Amino acid sequence: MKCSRLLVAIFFLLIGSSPFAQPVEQLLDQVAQRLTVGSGLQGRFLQEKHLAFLQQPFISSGEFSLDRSEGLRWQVLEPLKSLMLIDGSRVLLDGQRMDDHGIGQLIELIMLGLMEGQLDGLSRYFDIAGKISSTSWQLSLQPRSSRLKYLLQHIELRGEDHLQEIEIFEQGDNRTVIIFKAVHHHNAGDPGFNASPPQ
Amino acid sequence: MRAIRDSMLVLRSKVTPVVVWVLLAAGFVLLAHSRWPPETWLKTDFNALLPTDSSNLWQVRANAVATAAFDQQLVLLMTGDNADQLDQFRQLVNERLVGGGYVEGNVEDSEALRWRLLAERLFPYRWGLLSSADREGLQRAPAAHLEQFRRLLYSPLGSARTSSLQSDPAGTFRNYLEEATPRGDTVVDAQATELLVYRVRQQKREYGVSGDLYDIYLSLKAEAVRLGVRLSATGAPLYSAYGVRSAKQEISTIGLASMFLLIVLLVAVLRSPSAIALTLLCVASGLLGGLMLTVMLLQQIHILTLVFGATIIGIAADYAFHYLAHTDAAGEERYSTLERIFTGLSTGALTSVVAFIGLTFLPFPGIRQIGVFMAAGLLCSFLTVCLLFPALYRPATSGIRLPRFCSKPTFSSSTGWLLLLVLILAAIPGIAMLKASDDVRDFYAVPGNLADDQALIASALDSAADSRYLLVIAADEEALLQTEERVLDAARQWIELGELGGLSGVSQLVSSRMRQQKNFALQRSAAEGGYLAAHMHAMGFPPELQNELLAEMPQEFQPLRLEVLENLSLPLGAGGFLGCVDGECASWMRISGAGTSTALESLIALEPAVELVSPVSTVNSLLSSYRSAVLTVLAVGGSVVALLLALFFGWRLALQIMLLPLASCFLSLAVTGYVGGSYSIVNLLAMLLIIGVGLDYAIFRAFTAACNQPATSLAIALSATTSILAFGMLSFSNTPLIASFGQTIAVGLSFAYLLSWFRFDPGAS
Repeated sequence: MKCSRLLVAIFFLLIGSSPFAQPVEQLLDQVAQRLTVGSGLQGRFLQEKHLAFLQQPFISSGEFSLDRSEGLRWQVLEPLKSLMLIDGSRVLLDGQRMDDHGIGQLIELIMLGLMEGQLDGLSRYFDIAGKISSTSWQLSLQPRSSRLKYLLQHIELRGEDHLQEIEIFEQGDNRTVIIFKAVHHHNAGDPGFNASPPQ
Repeated sequence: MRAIRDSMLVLRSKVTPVVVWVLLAAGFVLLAHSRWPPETWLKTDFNALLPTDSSNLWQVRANAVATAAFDQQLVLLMTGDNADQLDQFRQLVNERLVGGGYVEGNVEDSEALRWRLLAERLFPYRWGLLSSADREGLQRAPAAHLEQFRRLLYSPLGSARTSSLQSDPAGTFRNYLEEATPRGDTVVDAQATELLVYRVRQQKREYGVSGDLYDIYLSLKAEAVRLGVRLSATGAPLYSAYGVRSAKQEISTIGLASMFLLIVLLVAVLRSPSAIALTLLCVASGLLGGLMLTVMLLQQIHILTLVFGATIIGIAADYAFHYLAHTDAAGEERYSTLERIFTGLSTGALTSVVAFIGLTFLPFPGIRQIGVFMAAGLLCSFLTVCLLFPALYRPATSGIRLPRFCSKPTFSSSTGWLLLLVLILAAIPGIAMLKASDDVRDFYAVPGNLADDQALIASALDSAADSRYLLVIAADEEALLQTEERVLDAARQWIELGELGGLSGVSQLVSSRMRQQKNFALQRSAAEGGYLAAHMHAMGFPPELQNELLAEMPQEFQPLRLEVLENLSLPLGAGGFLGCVDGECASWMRISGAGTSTALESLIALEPAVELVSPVSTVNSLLSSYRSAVLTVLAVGGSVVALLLALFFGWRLALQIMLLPLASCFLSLAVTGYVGGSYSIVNLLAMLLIIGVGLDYAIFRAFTAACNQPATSLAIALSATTSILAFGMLSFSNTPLIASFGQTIAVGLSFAYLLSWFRFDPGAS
């Protein structure tokens, strides 16, 4: 008897902590409620690219800003300076247009969704699962289209009132971890906010 | 005349004609069994009917390669606002198409495999392969160029580049392959969109089942509406499926309607079960004989040939009618009817068979098939009448009761001739209004829903392929690849300006030797100058891995040759090498997306060895030349028939006989001029049939004694009624090619019937 009760308890515990425990709409609503919503976002980032054949990851860091009208500005300061601008389908790296198959646009989409608390758009491209604890949340995004599956295996998002971490699991057992720091909302017109590409 | 009399002696000999017929039929079936093609013989692909310009070997090869892949592709574009609905619908599509065995899995999987196999073949030669950007960068400033690559890796965009970094530390090989890849569609769209590309299985493109694909398309459309998803579909298999579906309907409609009318007429006029049975046997032997001989000789037959073939019912029955109408009464000597009409019957059959055999000399596969089918079928029907009818047909005791109109005398008054003259004069403006039209796209039907879908998919996809391509010809492989490279370099600026969607050629997979040497020197220089080692060091590659990668670079240049692509299925969207023949090599370059004429013309102007080929224009110009050829065939064939008639029966009678079919053709063309204003090769082919059938009428009249003219009137009336109705029904076909053919013949035969009442020379009989 005791054994069967224990099994039932473990079952419900597993169900409770399973990424599939809640319907997606409910999950996304709860995450959206946790987020501090705004029209502009900026902060710093630390990116670690872990390659299966290298012991040490590629580490880069810099600043980013995001705005619905201006797009995503991603400035790497260390170890090599570079500027990535994503505005809709237009993706520029150091002024050069890139044919990135939509990867940059997808990152912008995820970040804009989390900035504005509008997460419904993500389910167009991903099967979403996740879990929420008292202080944090975690979403797991599995690509739906085969085109996207060729580019990446899945994406993990973690955060509290802001997105704090993106982990992209790529093909070939490689993965990229992006950690956001000092993230704060800003209006596009606020002094100090720089969402426009430099001339 | 002696030959005809000899034929009659054979028919009246001791050997029973029935046994001869049975032996002939059995021999024919056995021969067909031994020569029957092992593979599918019923074809549905419309392109198989069209002529090819064999005078240009390279165009023939390029057309075959360029269209091969797209002939199997089915493209589905699904858009909607709700991702879940889209997902649900995608599962339904997979269930119906993949689960039903119609298609192989999504073509993206097989394309990925093709690229992987190609990359494996090219990888050993990577030191001589560089994209244009890498070549320029390594030439200008190698250190800065490699640093820029590291910048890309440090950005989020580098995620897609990391998988091959271990073997391709500077990303040059990956860049080389990416430059050869047609511009893909992004993974993100404004609306929820799903593009599925399938390869339709060969066995599902055969006649028996291919029509089902169109039904599935229609049902999926209905399901999409229910789920709030918009579905668009395009691809050659879908068009073929539509064609097969409508052809199936038309064969059954036209065939059954012709047969029904035939039986009604026989019952009403002949009132004899054996007459009906023999007429049906005559028609069946024509259909089966035509089918078997065509498949035996050509190893295939097209579904549209069978649609045309359904009209043989109307013509084959002519011989049966002529025999039955001339049968007097019970008790008549068994072969006397045949003897009386044999000259007319055999001359009529011979001229029709000659007219249809004339078609087989045209290099137009579809027309050649029709020629073989009709000539063989009519010969079989003729033999059936001659061998079986005298032995098996016993007329009713009262004989055939001729309708009253048959007893009216043929028309020869001067008023009648004046009316005919007026008719011909009135036709002249109609003839003057005729303009030639040679656009192959006017021949086949595209239903509105498929046309809309195709337009929507073409506008949604930048990478939609253009049917045109560039044909490059040079003295050897190296010159060919260098020419392609110059064209591609020039095309780049047009692509950046948005004037050209994309251009791909085989030189993007195998660079010219000259360019490979330059690339090798640049990479060697980057390695020897320490730039590559510094780059790997900056990325944190361990020293042993750096040394290993640098050691892989050969000391001597090893060129990559076009042979490396042999037995390799190239990815879709790539151009291709066509081979070398007699000191000439050729390749074709695929144009994708919108290509303005300014951009394409400027590219052609750069290189005299490059030609812009439009398969549609090529076919149209071929159609134009074949139209002229058919005109010649009409003139030559008509002259040969007139000559034969003159040889046997004198020139005066020959001219009188020829006047009927020629006047019918003239008047029919005039009606076409008044109604449509344009004519094509199809109208001229219809003229061949009008001449064949019109000749029968004139010959039957000419070789029938005055006392037997009422029976000939009945035979011609029955023949004309069934033929005009059968061809008239073709004019309701959904396929413009068939409809135009049917209309012209129905009008022409109506005139032929009308003119058959004019007696040109009463004394001739």
